[in-house]
Amino acid sequence: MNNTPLLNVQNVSKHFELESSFIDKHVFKKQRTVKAVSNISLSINRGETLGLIGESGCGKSTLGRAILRLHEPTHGKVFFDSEEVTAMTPQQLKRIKRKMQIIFQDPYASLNPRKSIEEIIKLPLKIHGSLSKKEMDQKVFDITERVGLKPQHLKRYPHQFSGGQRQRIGIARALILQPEFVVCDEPVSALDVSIQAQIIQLMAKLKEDFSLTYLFISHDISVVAYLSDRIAVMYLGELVEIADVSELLENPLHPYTKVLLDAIPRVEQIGVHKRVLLKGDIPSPLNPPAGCKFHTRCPSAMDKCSIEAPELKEYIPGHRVSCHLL
Amino acid sequence: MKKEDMNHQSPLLRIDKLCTYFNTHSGIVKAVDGVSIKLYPGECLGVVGESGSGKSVTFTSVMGLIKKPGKIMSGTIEFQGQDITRFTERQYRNIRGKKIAMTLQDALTALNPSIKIIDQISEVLKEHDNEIKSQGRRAIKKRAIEMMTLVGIPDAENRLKDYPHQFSGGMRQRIMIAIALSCKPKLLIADEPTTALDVTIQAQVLNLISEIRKELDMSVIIITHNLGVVSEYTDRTVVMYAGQIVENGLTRDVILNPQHPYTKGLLESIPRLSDLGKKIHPIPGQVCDLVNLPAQCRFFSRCSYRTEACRKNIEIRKLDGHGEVRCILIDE
Repeated sequence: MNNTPLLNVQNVSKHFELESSFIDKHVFKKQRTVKAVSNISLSINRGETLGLIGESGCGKSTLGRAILRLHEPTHGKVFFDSEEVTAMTPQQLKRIKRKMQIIFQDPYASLNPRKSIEEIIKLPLKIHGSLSKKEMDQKVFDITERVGLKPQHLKRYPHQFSGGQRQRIGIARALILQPEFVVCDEPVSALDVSIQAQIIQLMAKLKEDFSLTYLFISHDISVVAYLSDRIAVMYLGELVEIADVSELLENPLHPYTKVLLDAIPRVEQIGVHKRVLLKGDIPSPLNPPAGCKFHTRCPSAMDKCSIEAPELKEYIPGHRVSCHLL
Repeated sequence: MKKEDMNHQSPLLRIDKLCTYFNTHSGIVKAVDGVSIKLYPGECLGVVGESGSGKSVTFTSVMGLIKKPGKIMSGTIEFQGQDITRFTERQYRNIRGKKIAMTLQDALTALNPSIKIIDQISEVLKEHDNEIKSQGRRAIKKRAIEMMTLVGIPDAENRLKDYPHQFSGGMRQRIMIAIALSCKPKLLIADEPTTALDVTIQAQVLNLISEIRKELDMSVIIITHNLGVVSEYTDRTVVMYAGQIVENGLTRDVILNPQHPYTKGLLESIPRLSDLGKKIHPIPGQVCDLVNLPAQCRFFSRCSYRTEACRKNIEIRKLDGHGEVRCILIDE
């Protein structure tokens, strides 16, 4: 088994510049920047599912897109199978995109309403094309069946399908090129509970059938934990903890992770259990706290935390945390 | 409030065989089709269901907010002993917001984006509380600050002059709750209060509702698809499917010992953090078309226990104990 990770993210940051007034920009030289992703380093091994969790403004979706260069990283490098994606020319990038795909959250926004399902699913083949019409039709037919849709659906349009079915179409489109790596950006969040279960099961099966590697992004921690091998926790653009799923659930080390896991209402828990509630809201990414970004809400914050930002360190093999308390 | 006491009191809210239908281009949608629910004072009821279950329409009907092409076709809704389906709009205004308050999933829809928060709160206070209205602007402002602080909005006094979009989703939900609670209603109906919120904010909002419920001795109905929320925060649970109630009982019973195949199916299809090795079993298929409903169990096409005997309209019936179920396969 090849020991090099399939995906290697090194110190990636993504900053968004916001519009400033003329005076602010040229007289005061003030530029408002949202540091959506700050200095993230992680790797994903072939065949693995890395889950990425965090709340609003943590930057998880932005990171997923930055890896694929759907957002250009402001700093840092991304390596796919040892090739540097961030240094590629448009042509080289196009070639590598065959192997790196994305499934989007919104099954209503991510499909072109004016194209038939067949056209939508076939488009990636045409873009990267070298197949005959017959070969393309066969591939479309095959993937459509694999995702649980029927051949008669192919001539229909997105609006004729339910959310769950549309998500299947999005999955078919992502997988038709038989990629190696798929970024799944909140793929089930917009669906009813019983349909979520169907799509989760489908994604697990397809991963096995196609030997895929997933980056699974979601705010629903139970879903992420079910599908993932390892989980990374983000807060305000930074990676605060990363570990194997069972290790993270049994032994969360970062105060934020502890509160996050504790906040999830559990089905088996009849009647409320006392929990530590975080004070206030998540700070604005425009104006993040100094030092450790979590210190303003941390139940265990020390003086040091408001001054110096902690570094991500490996405390237990395979378990990295960014916290002064350790 | 002991559970035994509840049965001896009269219900605060009693919905009896409610039918709310929508006359659409494709036909008549029987959104709520014979729903009966009892809610006792001080109780917290969970209403679980997915798209098309009728859970939201049931309570929009209770609030008297059904508009064309929807109409309450039959059934009664008794609040504090009075049948409010017979109320005029004027009579309804005396109840809505004052005695029964409702919060919605999307606070941006509920709050007027072009009016400052202080004005939205004042409007509700002046409408429903004559005493504070007569005390003037200062008293109203003071009450508004109290309410905002109660729901955990920091720096409340300075934020009164802000507009809804200047608050985060969690804050807006809390402001909506503050407005809903401003007149100390007897019943709070929270429609998907946590769906659009982050997990840590969800915990804050639910905790807030629990605390205020105790303080005001208020009844609460939480409409949600999240079974974890129902487990932790509700006393009783009603499960709805395709416009009907399929199961009803003490939350502990419904969650730990579900009777209806749909309830069982739902519980088996969600990943459990405490048991990740356990494979999930999705319910196959989709909810049936609510127009042209066949005369059979509405869950038939998705049910793994179905038999030929299920091909008829299924009535809901009582179980031993406190529950009800709409399934002929369950022994009494």
